Amino acid sequence: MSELLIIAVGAILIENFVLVKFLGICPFLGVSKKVETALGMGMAVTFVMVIASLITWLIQTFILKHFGIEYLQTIAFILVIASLVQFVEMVVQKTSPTLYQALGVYLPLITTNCAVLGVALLNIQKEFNLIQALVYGAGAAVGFTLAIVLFAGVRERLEYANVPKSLRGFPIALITAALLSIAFLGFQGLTF
Amino acid sequence: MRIYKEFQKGLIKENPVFVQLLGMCPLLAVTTSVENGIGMGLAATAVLLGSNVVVSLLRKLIPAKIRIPAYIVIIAGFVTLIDMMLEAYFPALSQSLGLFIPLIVVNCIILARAESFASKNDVVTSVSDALGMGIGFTIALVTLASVREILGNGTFLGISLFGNSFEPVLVMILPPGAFLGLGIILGIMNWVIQKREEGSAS
Amino acid sequence: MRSKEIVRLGGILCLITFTVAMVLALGNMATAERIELLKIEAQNNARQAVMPSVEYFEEVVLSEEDKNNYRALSEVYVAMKADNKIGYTIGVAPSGFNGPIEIMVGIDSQGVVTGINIVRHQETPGLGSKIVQDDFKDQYTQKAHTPLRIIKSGQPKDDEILAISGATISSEAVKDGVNLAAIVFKELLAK
Repeated sequence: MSELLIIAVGAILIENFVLVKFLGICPFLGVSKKVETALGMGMAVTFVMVIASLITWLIQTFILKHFGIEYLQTIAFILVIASLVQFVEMVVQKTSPTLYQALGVYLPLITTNCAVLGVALLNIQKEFNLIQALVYGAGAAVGFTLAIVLFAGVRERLEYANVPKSLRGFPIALITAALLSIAFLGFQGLTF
Repeated sequence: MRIYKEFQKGLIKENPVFVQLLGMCPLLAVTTSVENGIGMGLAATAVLLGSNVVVSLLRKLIPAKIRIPAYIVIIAGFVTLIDMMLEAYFPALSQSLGLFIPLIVVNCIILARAESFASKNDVVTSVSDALGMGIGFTIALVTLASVREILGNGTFLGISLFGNSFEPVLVMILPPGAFLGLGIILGIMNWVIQKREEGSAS
Repeated sequence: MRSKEIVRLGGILCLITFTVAMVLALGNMATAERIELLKIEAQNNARQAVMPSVEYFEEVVLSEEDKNNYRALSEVYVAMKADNKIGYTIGVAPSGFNGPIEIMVGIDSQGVVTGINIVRHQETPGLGSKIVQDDFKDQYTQKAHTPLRIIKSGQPKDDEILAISGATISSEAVKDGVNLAAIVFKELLAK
């Protein structure tokens, strides 16, 4: 049990996917202008990540490993993720048109969110069992949501700040992300 | 002439990173050293070249409805091939890029070029587009990696620049340094562009 | 009509996937052997480096129980010279800053560390990656008093290792690996 807790806390804080591992940067920078959409994106990613962890783990263990064709890993995983995203898109479109509109182009882009493929590959690399893989997937997703929501909160305030002209838009967002990343470095217990 | 134009646009004018803001994950993650930056740039260029050629060749055969999954499969194939070759012939590089080699699959630059360029153009122009974008990506990687390696470690390509008395700015080589470095580079680029516009306006 | 369309599209996608898979199978055939050889060679070199006077190695087969008891332990070899055991090489993989650090530890039959070698790591370049440098690694050579401890400054004593500045986590990880190797030696091998 404590081992699972370590995995979860590690994935959420210590090795935060976005701010420490640099996975999922595109949606992190792209969908973080409003807290509300950031939260929606986070939830969509969470759903995809947990299910993707489950399915890719099963595929790796019972198909790829079984037949000794591990070299097809990348291709198999990305296909699973692409189909899953398609499915989530259909569900969100039917159940919540507002959320669908808000997430807009970024929903299909979850396919190319490296955090999702990243978590699937890391589960295998770290030799996790199924439970550990699910916990790691959920932890990584919560970490992603935490980072993107915090970031969106800061960016909402930033709208009213008087930023030097050349730093407006993307550059100041990156510098903000740097500060957030420094805060997360604190979890490493690193001394500068 | 057109071929050169398609090549040249990726370097600066439509640079995939500095202008289109694509491919951020590998850019931020592997730029802790210039060597890694070059390695990632060349690996991505090779994948881009392969996928652009195949997508362009098959552009009339792949139905529009399934083009995205088809492109993803083709890209994933090339990524796996490059991964195998790096592991067999450049094990040290393969080790230091690690997870970010399979993750080239989800590098938006490659899918974006397949979708917006190679699927509409012939093989020769697609090749020059791939080379231009690939080298443009490499330029961006090397620029950010240089800033981070020089400031954060006092070295360039592993060669010590300032002697032992230099106290490196450790944070540049840690994760925040990637965001900070890129933010400042983009800020400086904006500043230069704005100065130029002001100059031409007055 | 619609279902026909779906079958056609699915068929094309399957065909593409199948072709790509075939190409990859060929690629795998062409490179798998070389990759495997490189790995074996790297392991051999690592064993040799921490046990310089060795003539040949014999593998110690680890039981499932041992693997469960020592999670970060990956392999144990007996170092032989003129039919005598001169020591062991113990492969360990403690977690570092960015993932496991694979370390080869040489321990002679008295339990003294003969040397360590970093086989694979993903530590931050220019920071944690300094664990591969000789002035850090050589601190472990001839250490007999385990468990070792990490200190951040000052003159290290017999059971102390000076950390790499700014990379305490990586330094601690290597120390943990060496300590584990020493425990494995005491509990499994020295008997």
